[in-house]
Amino acid sequence: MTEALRGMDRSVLIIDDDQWIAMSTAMVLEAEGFTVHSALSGPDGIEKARVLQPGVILLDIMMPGMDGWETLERLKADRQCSAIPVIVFTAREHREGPGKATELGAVEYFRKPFRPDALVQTIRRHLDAASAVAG
Amino acid sequence: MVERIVIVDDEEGILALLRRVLRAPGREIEVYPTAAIALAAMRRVRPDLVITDLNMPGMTGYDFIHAVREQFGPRIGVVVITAFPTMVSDADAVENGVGAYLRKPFTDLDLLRSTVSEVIEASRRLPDEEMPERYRRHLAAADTAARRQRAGLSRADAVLDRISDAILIADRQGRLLQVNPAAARLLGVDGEECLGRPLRELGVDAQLRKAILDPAPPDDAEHRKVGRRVVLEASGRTCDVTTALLVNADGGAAGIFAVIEDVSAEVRVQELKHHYLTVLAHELRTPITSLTNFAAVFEKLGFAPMTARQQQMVTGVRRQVQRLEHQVDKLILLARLERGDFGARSFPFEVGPAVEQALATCQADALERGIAFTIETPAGGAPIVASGDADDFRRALFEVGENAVKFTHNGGSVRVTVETDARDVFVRVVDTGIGIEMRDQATIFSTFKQLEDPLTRRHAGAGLGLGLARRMLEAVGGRIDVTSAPARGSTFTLRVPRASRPACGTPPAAAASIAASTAGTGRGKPEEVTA
Repeated sequence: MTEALRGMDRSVLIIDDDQWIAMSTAMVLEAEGFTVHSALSGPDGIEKARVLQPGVILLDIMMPGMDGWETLERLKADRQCSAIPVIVFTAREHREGPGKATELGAVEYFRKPFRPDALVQTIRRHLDAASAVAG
Repeated sequence: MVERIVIVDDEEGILALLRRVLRAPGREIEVYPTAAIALAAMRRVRPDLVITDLNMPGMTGYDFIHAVREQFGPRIGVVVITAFPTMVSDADAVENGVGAYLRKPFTDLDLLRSTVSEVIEASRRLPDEEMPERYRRHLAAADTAARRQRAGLSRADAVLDRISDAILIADRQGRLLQVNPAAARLLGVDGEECLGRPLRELGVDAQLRKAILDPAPPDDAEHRKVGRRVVLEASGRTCDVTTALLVNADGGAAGIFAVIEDVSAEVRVQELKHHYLTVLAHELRTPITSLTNFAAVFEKLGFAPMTARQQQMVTGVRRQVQRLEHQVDKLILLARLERGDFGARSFPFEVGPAVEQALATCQADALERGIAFTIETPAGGAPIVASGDADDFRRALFEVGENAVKFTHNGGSVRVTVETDARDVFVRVVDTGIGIEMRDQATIFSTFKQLEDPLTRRHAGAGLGLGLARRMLEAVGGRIDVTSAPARGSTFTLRVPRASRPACGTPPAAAASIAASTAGTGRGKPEEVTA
């Protein structure tokens, strides 16, 4: 899958073990015209990212088993997924969170609860940036 | 010539201490728990000195001295151990054949040693003669007084023995003079073996030793009262050490009195509380996130054209969820405050959008109450970038904005301006509200004052917010000030340092409480958007 093809994609992959968050966030994004896929675990998320090649990944940190940090590391180490912008979002106060997110290659760090419109804007911005690079 | 000393005391600890302290070359020391046994032994070998307690079961100290004088004459030195130094004057003591009184608890071991040597010397110089009648009377009177005070002393000892706090007395050289059973347990020493020995030699935890022997400087009033908190290396237990200097009659330092309280359980509870608060916040935020999302979708799409009333309900849901969210935020801030956890995250951030995000809710509230709420940011030019925790800045400004709206009458106005100088960014919140009395202006930022006394504080609603705001700003090198006149309104000025480097990643606009938009990596930087 090339940058150009993926860059045109307006789809978002949500990786979050909380299905209510996943569902409600999907509804917000779908209302804005995005195509949304969900994964309820890190490994499932990585698998779907490889196959679906979303324009942006929304990644939760606190997940049982493989947590968001590890998932992020694996995504960035995976040749098929490393170019997909990852937005980290977490409900937990992490003092080192924003710094760690940046270090591991995330493009944004959101704290839950977030303003839905702010999330939408941020996703758009990263999709546009990707299209600009691709185009 | 060998010096012989006999010591009689029913407290084994005292015997052990004296034996250790007085040990010297050319000196033989024998210790006995009762006067009767000591007397029997003395008939075999005559000592140069007897040291005796007064309060002993069976034959008392005075009976013992009496017998010594009767049987051995005046040339045996006598030293009395007493907890009641006011009972007999030293002059009386010497005149009546008691060489010296040693006061319990012992605070000066060197003095103890020199006293013993002096009494031995003095008694050797005395001629052999009968014990005077006056001395007999003196002993009898003192004995009665001692018996009367005995009950009081044993009560004090019982308290010391049973109290759960560790209590000890050390001399200026750090040698233990007295320990209660709790102290012996805590220090990991034998309650009797340890007496007279330095803390260092007993393998007492270095931090604990320091806390006992180097009390906080006297000018530090707060520390003197609170003492010092120490975590023991071996056991991991947390102890609060409170010390007091023991002072001699002449005002000199005689030793140190220390109370050591094991607060491990309290510390653990604090940690659990913090942990619980953090988990609780997470648990609350997760459903709030979904609720916010659902409300947003509902508000945007609805299912059919909504009636005004339906629209009102959906908006109500969204606003109430927002309120809940602010309360959760406050919980988290409190937990952070408790840990002194402000200022840890400092990144450059763009001030304009942050101001708008922070005040979005206040603006909506103001609108509902007919208060004109305006935000003026400098038009054109490069974005103003400040350095700090963007989240905390937004939160601080939100508290100030909320406060301004709360204390402004319907129909009044709140005006927010953003200005800069070479070093700092100034955000001013000017309201036409009720204002603040001069005497209250200094205290509205003191978090704990307001926490302590919620019933009597004058600004009922202001509560914690402004205090938190100040802490958050000061943690990143900023500050917050107020000028105000009653009935004329208040001006709050928030100052944050300008950033030396530009903000990376444009903070999303119109979001009141999203997280710090952190430095982006490669993709998504604003310059790439425009490239």
